[in-house]
Amino acid sequence: MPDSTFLDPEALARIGSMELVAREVVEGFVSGRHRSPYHGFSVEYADHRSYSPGDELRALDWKLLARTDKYFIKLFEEETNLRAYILVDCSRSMSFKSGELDKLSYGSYLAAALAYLMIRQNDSVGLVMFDREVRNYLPPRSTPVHFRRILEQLDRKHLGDDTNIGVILHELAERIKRRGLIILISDLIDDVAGIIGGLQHFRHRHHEVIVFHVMDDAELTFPFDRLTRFKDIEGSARVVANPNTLRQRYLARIKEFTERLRGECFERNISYNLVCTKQPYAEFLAAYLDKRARLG
Amino acid sequence: MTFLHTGLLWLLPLAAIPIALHLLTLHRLKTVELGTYRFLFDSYVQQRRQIKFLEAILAMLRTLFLLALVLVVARPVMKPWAGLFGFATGGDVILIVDCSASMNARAAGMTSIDRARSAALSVAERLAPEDRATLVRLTTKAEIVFSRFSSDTESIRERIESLSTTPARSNLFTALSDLFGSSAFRKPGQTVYIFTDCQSSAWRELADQGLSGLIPAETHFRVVNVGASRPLANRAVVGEPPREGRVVVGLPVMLRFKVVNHSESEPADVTVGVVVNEREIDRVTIGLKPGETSARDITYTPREPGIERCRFAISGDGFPDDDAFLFTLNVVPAIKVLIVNGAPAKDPLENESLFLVTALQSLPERPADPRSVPGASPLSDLGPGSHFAKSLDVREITEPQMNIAALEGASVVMLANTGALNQQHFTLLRDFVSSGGGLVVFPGDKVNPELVTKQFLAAPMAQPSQRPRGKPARNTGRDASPTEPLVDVKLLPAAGELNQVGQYEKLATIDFAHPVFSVFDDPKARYLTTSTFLRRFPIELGEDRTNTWPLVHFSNGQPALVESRCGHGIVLLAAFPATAKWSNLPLKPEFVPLVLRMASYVMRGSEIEVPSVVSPGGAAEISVAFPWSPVTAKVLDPAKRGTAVTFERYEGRFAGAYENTAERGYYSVEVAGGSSEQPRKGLLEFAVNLSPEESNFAMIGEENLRDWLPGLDATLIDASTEAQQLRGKVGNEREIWRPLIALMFGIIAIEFLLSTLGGIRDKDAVTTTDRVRDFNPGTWVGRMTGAGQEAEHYP
Repeated sequence: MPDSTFLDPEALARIGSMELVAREVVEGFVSGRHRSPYHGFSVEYADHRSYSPGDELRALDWKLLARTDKYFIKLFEEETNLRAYILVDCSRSMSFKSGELDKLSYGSYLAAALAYLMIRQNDSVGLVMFDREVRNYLPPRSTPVHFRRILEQLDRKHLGDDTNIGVILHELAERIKRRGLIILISDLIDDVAGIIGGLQHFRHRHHEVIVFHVMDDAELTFPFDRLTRFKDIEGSARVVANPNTLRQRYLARIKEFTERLRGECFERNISYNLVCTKQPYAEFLAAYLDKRARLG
Repeated sequence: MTFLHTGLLWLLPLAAIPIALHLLTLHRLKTVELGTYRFLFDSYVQQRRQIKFLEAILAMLRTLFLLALVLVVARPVMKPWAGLFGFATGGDVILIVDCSASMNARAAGMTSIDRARSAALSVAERLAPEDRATLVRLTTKAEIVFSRFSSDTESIRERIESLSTTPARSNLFTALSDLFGSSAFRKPGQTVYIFTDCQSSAWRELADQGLSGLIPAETHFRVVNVGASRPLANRAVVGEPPREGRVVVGLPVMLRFKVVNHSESEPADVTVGVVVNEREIDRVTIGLKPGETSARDITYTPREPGIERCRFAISGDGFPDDDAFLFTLNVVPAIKVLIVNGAPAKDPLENESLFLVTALQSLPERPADPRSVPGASPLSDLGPGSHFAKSLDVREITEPQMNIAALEGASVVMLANTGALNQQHFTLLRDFVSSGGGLVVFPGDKVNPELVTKQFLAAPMAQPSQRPRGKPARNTGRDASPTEPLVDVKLLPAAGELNQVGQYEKLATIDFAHPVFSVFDDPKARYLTTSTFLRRFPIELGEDRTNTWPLVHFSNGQPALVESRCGHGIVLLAAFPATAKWSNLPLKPEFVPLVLRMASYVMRGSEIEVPSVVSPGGAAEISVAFPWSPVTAKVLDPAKRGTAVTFERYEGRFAGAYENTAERGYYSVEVAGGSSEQPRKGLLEFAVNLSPEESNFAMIGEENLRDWLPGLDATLIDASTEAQQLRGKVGNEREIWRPLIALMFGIIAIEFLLSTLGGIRDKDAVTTTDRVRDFNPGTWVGRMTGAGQEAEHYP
């Protein structure tokens, strides 16, 4: 595997045995491990049914005919290739950190791991890095070389300016024609309605959408306790305040923000996952994949 | 406020530390670039005002804490009475202490005079040795107690503590006029303290007349109210001396009292007790509205002669000095009138004294006389007094019965047609008159005019005569010669015939200015003018007479009644008898009041006269009859201190005055005199009460000072009962570091609570209890200064 700061061998070892199972059938031309919306020739037998005039004869199960002297058609689960797009928010707000990793780095680790898993499954993975506009676009591929390119892009740590997630999502939704998996890794610090609108656009196009809402622990818990000058990371606004007097109301607003996103995503059948950078990303991903596998 | 360690006040700038720290903190603040800034800012905007306010409060509390700490260390001292002592050293300070009666009002266990002394002492103790202090005792006038440099503190203290009140009111106008009228006090820049209860009566004359131009410029007035902060709701009783000039045994005397409710808002039911010689003779309850005065008359009849100490008394209140009005009744025995009947007869109509006795014993109230003229004064009002007749002890004797014993104690002798008096009788009568007795002579058919003239009327007297009592001087003022007769007239043989009814004389010229006849001066009634005299004695007045003059003339110009002053007595000589034989005058209704007035006019005056009540600070005039010569008197005040009285001759008597009426109570007058053969002693009493104005506690205000002392620095300082209860005794200073420390603890508590406001981050966050437990001052200071914290910036 290419040498990249985003591929922790230990983490890879943990998640290497897991498979990412796509929840919905996607179109693909490479048979893989995902259920295709279309039944066709596939490696794995699924089931039998009685032959009906007009069915393809090649689908007849001759062995069963020999045994039973009846005509049955084989049903196969044709697994097609997953086309996944990992959308990584690289706006300035993603640069905040209170621990070892800032949100962008954490998200990049997440993206790299996901990309590796899917490429290993012969899924196609594309990468989009955006802030106010799309900064990098790598179309989905499933080759190791492509994976290298993905890592190179993630490695660059390009921090942009402010962001307009909703607009970007709409733009990408128009751009990505074929049904697939959209993984959004962002702190979603933007207009919630716009974000939801963009996500809704993807859903409208029958994409499966997974949102990893990356937030720093300090943003979630507001641990400040002395008079501090707070500055907008994406602007020039600043305020000097005693955090003790603002904490309660701030946390309430953060909670309201995350709950709203969660609720809106749930209504649209979008998988919403709040990720705290305090939690090791491998641990998070393992838990997430495990949960996903159990949910089928 | 002052401080014991004033030098430590240089630490006061330390109170600015919180502000400096705040500014320093701002400068070295940690900067956090926050991605979720928008959520923070929304919260901040909603709470910005509250946050700013809280921060300001915290900064202020911290500053206040340090300020309080510095003040505590400097040990502040509160001087609530600092305004009282603001005078420059090296100057003149005048302490005027109101010693009027109202200063005895008590509140909170102290009288106003006690507080005045205390306040004056406080001021005096703060004087520098180079200050000159003058202590003035304020009553009806200014009494300078001392004026000296204030280095003699002990003596000053003693004089102040010995100040006492009088029953009189104070008169500030007189006091200030006397004070600043003297060149010794007409200096600028003096400070005048007036320790008073601010009773408005003391300022009355000042308000009316002012003192413009009298008080030097730049004089500072400090009026210190040592009374109450509000007018005392006081009730008082005042009385009047008995209207009757002489209180006689058995003669009812009218006693009048007034009760005043000085309260402006509270009504009162006041019970007045009338006490005579410690025995209550009457009790009256009177309901009074606020500010109302009510008067009552009480009739009292003394049963025995002597001194009776009396008072009107009400129940006590905050000012008990005016709850009793003292007075005395010097009761004399009944006035003895001796009628010498020269022709007693069993037939009353023939009795020479019938009409006289009847007139002298007439009742004061009589039914309406049908003979009275409509519109004229009622005849009953023409007498000397409604009860005068009742005060007379009328005795009738015959000529042989007249002797020294019979004359003993007599005040008036009336001779009714006494033709058989001998030389001895005449001598007795002359002595009687010269010693002050009154003689009325009604000659009749029994009288030998020539004999009476020679041996009685015109006989020379042994004692010189005096100027007439109560009349304009008819004499030259010289002592009469020893040959002065009893009555300088000649009584001529009777003229006129009883059976010639058509020939009679009438009374023509009447001296209506004379006290006997003044009440008959009524043109409507034409009193006395209808009397007819068929027979009468012509009276020839002496050519060089000096002690005799006519009062009434007949129509023929001859005197019908003459008056003579002889010695200390008075003689009225009529030209007719007091019967209906020679005239119809006794039958006239005017006869009764005429006889009574004649008796009242000539009757012997009181041996000793002393008023029943004397005003506080006033003079008690003592009058002693001349026969008491040589006279001495001593007055004992309520404290039994005796003072001799000096007498002078005045209008036929000895007159003296006693002026030490500074105490309320009963005063005794002991009079001694007379010759060694006939020594005389007398004892009377009078009472001194409070000045009535002292009962009204209406107060002045500071605005009044500005009006009455224009252009001067005048301040009213409240050192009343209530003020001293609030601020402590005048002059008291107290340290206030204890309250400051309590304040500091309060500040700490509030600061702690406010600075820990704000929510708990999460359930695992450090609680307030943990913070308190783990409180590390060093950490606290570090947090305050932001020391060791670098600003965090993100590229």
